[in-house]
Formats: sequence, structure tokens, C-alpha cells
Amino acid sequence: MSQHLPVSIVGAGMIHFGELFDVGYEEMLARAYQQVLGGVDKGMDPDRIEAAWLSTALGGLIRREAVTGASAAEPLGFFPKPVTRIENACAGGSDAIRNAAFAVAAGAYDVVLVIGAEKMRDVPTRASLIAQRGTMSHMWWQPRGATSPYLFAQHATVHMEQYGTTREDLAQVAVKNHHQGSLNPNAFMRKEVTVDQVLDAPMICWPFGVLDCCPTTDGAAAVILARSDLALEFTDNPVDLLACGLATDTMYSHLKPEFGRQPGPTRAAQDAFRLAELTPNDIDVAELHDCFTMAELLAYEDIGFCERGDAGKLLAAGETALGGRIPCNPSGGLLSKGHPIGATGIAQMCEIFWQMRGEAGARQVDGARVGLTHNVGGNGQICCINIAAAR
Amino acid sequence: MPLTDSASILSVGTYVPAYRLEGREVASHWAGGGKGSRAVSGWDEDIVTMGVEAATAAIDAGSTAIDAIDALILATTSAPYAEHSSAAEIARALGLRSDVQIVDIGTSTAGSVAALALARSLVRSGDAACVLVVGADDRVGEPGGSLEATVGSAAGAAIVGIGAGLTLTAATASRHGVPTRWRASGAAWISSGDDPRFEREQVVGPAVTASVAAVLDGAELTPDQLAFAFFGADARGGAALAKSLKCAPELAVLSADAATIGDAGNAAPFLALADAWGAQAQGSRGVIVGIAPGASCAALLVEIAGAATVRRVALAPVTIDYVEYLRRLGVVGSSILPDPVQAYSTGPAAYRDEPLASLTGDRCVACGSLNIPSRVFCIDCGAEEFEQVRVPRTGALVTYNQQCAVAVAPEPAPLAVGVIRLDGAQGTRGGNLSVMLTDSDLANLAIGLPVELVMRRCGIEKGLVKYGWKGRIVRGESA
Repeated sequence: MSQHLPVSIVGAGMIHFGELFDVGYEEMLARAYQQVLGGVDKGMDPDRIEAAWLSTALGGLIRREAVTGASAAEPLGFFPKPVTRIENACAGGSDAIRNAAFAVAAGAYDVVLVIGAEKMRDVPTRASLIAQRGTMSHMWWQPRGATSPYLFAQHATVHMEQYGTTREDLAQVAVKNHHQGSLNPNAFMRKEVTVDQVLDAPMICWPFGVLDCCPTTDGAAAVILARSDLALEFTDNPVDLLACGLATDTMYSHLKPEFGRQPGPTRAAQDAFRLAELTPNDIDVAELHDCFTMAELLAYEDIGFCERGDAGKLLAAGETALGGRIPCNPSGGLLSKGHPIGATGIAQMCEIFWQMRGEAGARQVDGARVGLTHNVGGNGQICCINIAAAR
Repeated sequence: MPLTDSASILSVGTYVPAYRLEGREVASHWAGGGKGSRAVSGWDEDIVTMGVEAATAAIDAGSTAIDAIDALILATTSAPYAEHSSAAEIARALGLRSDVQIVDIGTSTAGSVAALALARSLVRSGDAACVLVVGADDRVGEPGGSLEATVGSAAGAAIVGIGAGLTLTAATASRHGVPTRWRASGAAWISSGDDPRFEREQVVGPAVTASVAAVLDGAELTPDQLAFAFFGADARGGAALAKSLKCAPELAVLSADAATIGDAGNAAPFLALADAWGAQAQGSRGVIVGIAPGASCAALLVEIAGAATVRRVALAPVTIDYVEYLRRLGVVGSSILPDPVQAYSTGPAAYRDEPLASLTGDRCVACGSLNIPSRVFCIDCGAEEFEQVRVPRTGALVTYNQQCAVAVAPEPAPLAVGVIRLDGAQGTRGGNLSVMLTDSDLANLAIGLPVELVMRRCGIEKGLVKYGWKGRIVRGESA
């Protein structure tokens, strides 16, 4: 008996990510809701949606107010139906999909909404992501002065020492993803960059210059999940959500036994592949959590697209670019499309939905049938990997 | 404890911060000629952190166990607080016993010699067997004034107890009026009458002469029996005093490195003691004078009766320019973002942090893993039984990065952060610590470099300093 989840994606929608100075948090949610309702081929009566999951990471930190399910129910006119807020750092969007899928699989609901949004540019970029530490350890001295880029930069330092990975290797990730993002109308930064531009950009956290880092982004995205046996009511081309894997690792940097790899994503991938009855070789297209250039290289190795230390070679060979063996981040990834934290994992799944249905336009991966999303929170503390397939 | 006649300094530790402001650099911005240099504290240093460095050096130099220390006396004119004990902060960082006596002496640069005299009395009376005395100052002269380039920042410490060392044979103090230097409550810098010759000849000179005469009378000695003397950081004044007191021509007039460090106030007597102990013959005697110009002098007679037990922490000097110096003082600066880590220094959180503040960790009884901070379940084996241990204060860099955009203040970018593997610690996940690297050469960081843990300022909230631990790449240090 298949262990696949009895859950399908029947619609996807997102707003154009960017610095949305004229759109507030609630409006972003409402606009994404309009997009996802409009993205259901045979139409979706909002009354058919029985429950919703909201992913927002930084409500308390940036908006200085509590975010609850009601924060989505109100702008969407969704009340009094149930809405659950998920906060699982940068992996919250994918985990919201996972939790919503489990509720459908459990028989609690037939059709549910998963929506995520983040308002990050109501404050200067310096006060936004750069000021958020993620969790590394003690509140103020361990290590004082570290910022979010450090979470991945500390792995880069060791990866460079152990495997000879270079800043040029890292820059190639930005070059690839900015090119692919230039093909995506929903991406924030639709501009190509060169290796020299990446290397010469202002340094943020060595070895990361500013173009090694994803931009501070506003955005919202949504998907609608339905029982697989009901999916054809809504579309002739549903995308089946095969499996979800979620794993944790220590929060604190100094409790990690080693650097240059992230055991949480490896475990999440193993669980998802086992449940999906697939291997890394079966993946046709992947949306990876490239919050920093190094993060995409770590993902190749942690998921198993290549051997340890070979990520730079895989990239240099063009295997992970459009036209390669396993195109990664055709959407432009977080580096180009943007990283509105709570929306990110859901936007990754939007891209896989479109890729599975052959709707990705200039960035379409030919013949893609199986797709994977890799969504990492903090310093690899939390990772959610979802696998979906064309029916 | 029995009464004893003998109280000695058993070990001495000194600390001089890395940064130097040269007199000629100051003079290039103001009228006049400048000589020498002064020591300047780092962005994250104050007299508490410098005091911890010096005290740790004094403890490491000798064989005194932390738990043997009965009292801590701190003398400083530059405490970070007008109300709240800096000595208590030092005691916490050192992990002294919870029943240790704490004494803060403030507002006088003669305070640390008075503190040594007080420690002698405590030991002789039997009220304490072992006293840690710390003198530290982080001094700022009025910009453009005569003191700006001649005062300095440093810390010193001594363990006073019973045993071989520097015997403290007599102590005295004298009081004199006509203040020539002062810093009003809340003022940022020391003001002066800007009349060095008047101060030297009419105020300090007579006071030092009187106090030295008194301490020698008490011991039935004459000035020509002295082998060494510290008459204050003013070299010209010291030479003149040696002559007028009719000391022996071969008397070593100690300077406490004032030409390079500046007059480090309460730290200076310890710098002088450290110099004398290694250089002077066994059985030789000297006087160490603490001076608060126009207020008081304290004089101490010491006799070398044991091998030198001295540890100096002197970082490789880094010269800074005048604008950088003014930035450190807060005189000039750009607007900085507020410290993003707020609402932490509330009582309950700080209370739970007590073991961390003294670098205490939990060692798993089952597997030996060093768990920092304390845990219910061992990070490596899951066992639930631990013993409290002192965290090793040295280690090696596991990974690091330079932060070029930072959201903390006042430490400026770029700064480095890293993970260190603690020396001798066990555990796969345990045994490591994450730290900001301070006073380190950012251009030459590498995995595997040796690191020592140093207590530093880690932000400030509502005026309350958050002290924590940072790492410093080990370099240029001599015993």
C-alpha cells in the first residue's frame, strides 16, 4: 500500500514579491487569496474551503503585535472558520502545508487553504533581517554581534576549508538564480548579475557580500489542498502532494558537532523520500532554500543530489541550472524572487505546482513530473521537505 | 584565625588594554607638544572587565584557589555605576564564594594603596586569610587639557595573605587640601587647574614627602635604606622627590610605564609592584605611594621576601587616531541602531544566568560531556545527572566569520564571531562555546587558532551593563 498522502494541490497563487510600500500585511493576504482562488482551473467557491493555516514568522518581532489565525480570517472574510497560525522560523510556510495536509489526510477536512505572508519592509533593511539573529544561543553574548547571515556563513568558512569551495563557487549560485529569476514575473529582483558583481558587492558577513544574501522582501503566497479523490472536481491537472518530511537540529551554533553540513535537512529529506518511495535521482526540479548562496550548495549535499564536498562541481557542470539534470530554483529562489519568511515555503510549492503543470513559461523545466521543496529555518534548526508530483 | 604580624602580597597581576593614543597625535589637534602615549580601553571594556583580567592574572600567577578568597576590595575612580557595586560584578565573573566580603572604594586615585593597607589589616587581624585587591581606572582627561594625553587606562590586582611574597611591613596615609584635579559627578572627563608645576611642587610633593616619612618612621628606617620607590606616575616629580628625600643615588624610581600607558590612577601602584618584584633583590625594601592630588596620599612599605609571582597581560599595542579616540568617548559618532536584544536584563533572566556569568557549566556524570548552559538532559547522552564545573577559559577556533554589517552597539563593524572548542572539554555537541571575538586581528583569523575567554561588556540597557564573555585570539602575552 502506498504511503503517499491522500492530498492534492488544486490551486496556487502568489503576489509579486518586492518592497511593497503601498500594500499592508492584511492586503497582501487578501491579494494572495484572490490569486489562489483565481488559480483553480474549475473555480473555487470560498464556501468549500473549511479551514486555513497561516504562516507568518515575524509578527511579534517586526509588527510588535500578536499574529493569530484571526489575522488572516479578518482580511479574507474567512471567519468564523478555523485558522491555525504556524510559526516555524523560515520553514513555517512548508510546515503549514504539512500540517494542513495532515488534517486533510486525517479526514477532518476535504478542502483547506494554506496561506503565508511577511511584512518585512515597514522597517529599514538594517533593522529587519540583518538585526534578527535567528537563534544561535544566549540572548546577548553568545555570540554577540552575529546576525542571520552568520548562520550560514559559519558553515561556509568550514566548507571552504574542508572542500576548497571558493567565493567564486558561491557567486555562481547567485548568477544562476538571478538569471532564472529574471524569467519569473513574480520575482523581486529580476536582474542578471555577473560573478564579478557578486564578488565586488559590499561585504555583509564574510564570505557573503550583499549579492550572496537574499533581499528583505514583502510578499504573500497561497495554495489550496484537497482530498486527492475529490481533486478532479477542481482541476483536471491536480498535483499530488506525496510526502512531507520535517526534522529539527540543535538551535545553538555551539551545540553543533560539526559545520559544513546540516543534519536536519538530511533527515527531513530521508523521511520525505522514504514516504514518497523515491530517491534524489527521481527529482526533476527543486526549489531550495537559498537564503544565502552557501545554503543552496549545502542543500545539494544534505539532500543527496551529490556527494559531500561536490556541490561546487555539480553547480559548475550546469547540472542544477535550467537545462541541467536537476534544475534548482527555476523561480529565482530566495536570492532573486525574495524571502518574505512566512510565505517562502508556500511560494516554493506554487512554483512546483506550476512546473508540474507545464505553466512556468520561460523558466519551465521540460517534462518535469516530480518536484521537491526544501525550506530551512535558522541554522538548519528546522527543515521541511515536501515532495509533489504531476498526476 | 590567630593574629599575625605577617601579611604579604602573594601574587600580582596586571592588565593593559591594547589601544594607544600618542601624545603627538593629540598635540596635532591642539596647541603644544606631545610626548609618549596613553593606553585606551577597547569598545567593550571598562574597569570591571579590566579588573577581571588583572584579577584572573593575579590568581593564575600564584597558587591561590578561587574558593580561598575571603574578601575582594576594589579601588577605582571610574566605576560604570554611581550606585551598584563594580566589585560584585568582578566577584561574579571570577566565581568567588557567595559569602565573600565585597568592598568598593571610589573617587580617589590613592584608593588602591589604601586598599592594600586595608587588606594587610584584615589579614593581620585574622578577619580574612586571603584578600583580593583590585585597582583599575579607565581615565579620560578634558579634551585639549593637560591631562588628555597623560592619563591612562589599566588594571592591577594582588592577592594578600600569609606566606612568602612581598611583605607588607607598614602602611600610612596623610591628608592634604587644595584640590588640583577633579571630576564632578556625572562629568565625562577629569578637569584640572592646568598648573603642573604648582601641583608637583606645592601639592603632591609635600604630601608624598609626609606620607613616606611617616611610613619609614614607623618601621624605624631611613630613606637611604630604600632600594625602590613609586612616587606616582609623574617621572619629573618622582626624581625630584627622591632627591629631596635624600634617598640613595641608586634608588630605582619606578614609573608604572607612565610614558606609554599614561597615569593609570589606581592601577599604577600594581604596575610598579610588578616591575619591582622581578627586578629587585631579595630582602630589598621599597615604598609604593598612591596619590590623589590635593586630597590624600597613601604609602606602603614592602620588602621582597619570595620569588616573583607576577603575571602581566599586555596585548600588542594598536595605535588609534584622535577621531577614533573621540568616537570611543562618544564625543563624536553616528546614530546607531538600538541594541536589538532587549528586555533581557530583567531580574529573573539575569538571576537564572548566574552560573553562566561566572562561566560555570554542567559536566555529565555519565558521559563527561560539558553542557553549556546547564541542561536537564545531557546534550550528548540524555542522562540527567550533572556536576557543576568551571568552564575552561581557553580553546581553539572551530569556525568564524567577519560581520561587516552589525546591529549591536557600540562595537563597530567589522567584528568577528565564532565557535570555539574548549580545551580539555569532553562531548561531541558539548564542550563548545559561541563568542564574539574581541581585540583580535580580523585579517588573520583561521580555523584552529587558540582563543582565550575574556569578560567584556555586551551591551547596555537602561544604563545597566550586560557583562558576558567574548573570545580573544591568544597572542603577545608574557608571564
